[in-house]
Amino acid sequence: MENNGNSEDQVRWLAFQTGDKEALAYFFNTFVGSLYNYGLKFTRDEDMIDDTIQDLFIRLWTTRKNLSMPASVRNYLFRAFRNLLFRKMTVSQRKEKYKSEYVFFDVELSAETNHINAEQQLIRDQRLESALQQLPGRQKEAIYLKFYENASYEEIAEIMGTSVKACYKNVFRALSYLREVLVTLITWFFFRLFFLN
Amino acid sequence: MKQHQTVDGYLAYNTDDFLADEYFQEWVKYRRPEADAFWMRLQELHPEKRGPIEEAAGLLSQLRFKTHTPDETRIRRIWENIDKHTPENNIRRISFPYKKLLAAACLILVITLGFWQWRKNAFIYKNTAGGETARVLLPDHSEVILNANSRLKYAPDFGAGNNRELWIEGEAFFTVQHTDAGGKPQPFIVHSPELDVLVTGTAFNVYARRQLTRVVLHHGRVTIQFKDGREGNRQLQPGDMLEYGRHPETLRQQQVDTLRFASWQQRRFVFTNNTLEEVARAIEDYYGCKVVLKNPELSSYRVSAEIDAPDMASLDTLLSKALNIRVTRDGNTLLLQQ
Repeated sequence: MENNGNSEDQVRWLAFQTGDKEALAYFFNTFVGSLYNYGLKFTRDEDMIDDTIQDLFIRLWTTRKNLSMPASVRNYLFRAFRNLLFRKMTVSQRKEKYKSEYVFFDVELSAETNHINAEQQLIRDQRLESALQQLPGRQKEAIYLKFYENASYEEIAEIMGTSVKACYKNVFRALSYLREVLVTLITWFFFRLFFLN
Repeated sequence: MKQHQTVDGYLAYNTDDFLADEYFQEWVKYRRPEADAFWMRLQELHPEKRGPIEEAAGLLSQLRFKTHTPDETRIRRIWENIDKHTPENNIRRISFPYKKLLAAACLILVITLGFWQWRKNAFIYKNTAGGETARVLLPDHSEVILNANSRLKYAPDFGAGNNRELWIEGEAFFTVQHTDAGGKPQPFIVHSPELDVLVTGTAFNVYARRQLTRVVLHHGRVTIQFKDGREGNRQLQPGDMLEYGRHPETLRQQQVDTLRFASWQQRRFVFTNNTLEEVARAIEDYYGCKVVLKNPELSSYRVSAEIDAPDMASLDTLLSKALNIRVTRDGNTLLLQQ
């Protein structure tokens, strides 16, 4: 992520630990958008996301004296947010059994390319989208953190609480699968280009 | 999983490897000049990698995720809730050594204040043992002669306020000095368990034992205030005796020979036609022991005598000789029998 070890974050963190409310507001304003987006990938319950963000910052404030300075404030907040959200989700859905840690990770791609014509682009986006939806949650989360949050494998591992190797594998498999889908699609485009026109 | 920044490191890479490579991903996303140069060189030196690189770059450039920006009111509401629950303490924390010092200073202050307050409120007690009388001179020069086996209590600032107050259990003779406080006679109040005696300047005897209270006024004037408030106040004239008991219920006021009730001051027992029962109670009162009459007919035995109170040890012989009875002692109990 871009502001890993960001010196402004570190200065603000020290101020925050001595009880500077402005520093807390700074962290809130800096990360609320990312956290909100991240949260939406796990649940569509926006109130739950709001609650989780509130709890996160309130906890941060009340425990500030016992916290050590994290290497990256952003990663720290992401990880803490993720844990809190999972706990809330498990409580609210405790009747449904969670097979893996979670099943739902909802990502959408933004339509933005101009290499091919509109019709082809639409088809391609739809295919890519549906391919993406078929990926396991952990793979989706890993590529989301990779390409949306620009997290390194180490950072993804830190946030998701797994090994760097596992994160790499998740990203690798997800991209590999998406590529296959696209290759098939492109082959189909060529096929149509030569034989149907 | 770190980027191989040497060309040779990428020789074994296929499309999927490029896709998952961080240095490659960064190049596709940011197209930084130094990375540009590196990847161009790789493709020039190894043209067979051009295909996989282009394919991987094409896919990565399409991977853009939709952003959901929360609206302003939502963010403001979240912050307001956080703000409410994160109180800011403006009190500067005192550094540790000072904190300790401050705590110690506070503790000393509290102890000092507490001790002072305690000293101020702590009562002065005068207790007499069995067979012992005591003369207590109060700060206002009033005099209390405390009979044996009795307790007197008064505050160290006795006489400083509007009233002079003291508490008695047992028996005492009071000679009260007349004092004024704020231009008015300063009342002298003797609290006994059942009643209070209000005095200005006078001499009287208070007996408050075994649920019987007896006040004998020698001279002056006193007012009796009953604790339960039922009886109303009583004024005593010199020579008056007021006796008040609850078990059994008794209240009488009559003229008496006051000296008889003050004889204990000379350590004398004065009995005039008293029952042995009464004598036994008097002995109990004075010596703080228990007297038991073994034979019921003994209690109606009449006694008239004036004797100097002997010490505890010679009491037995005196009693047995004077009354012609057998006296045995069992610890703190005297057994009288024929």
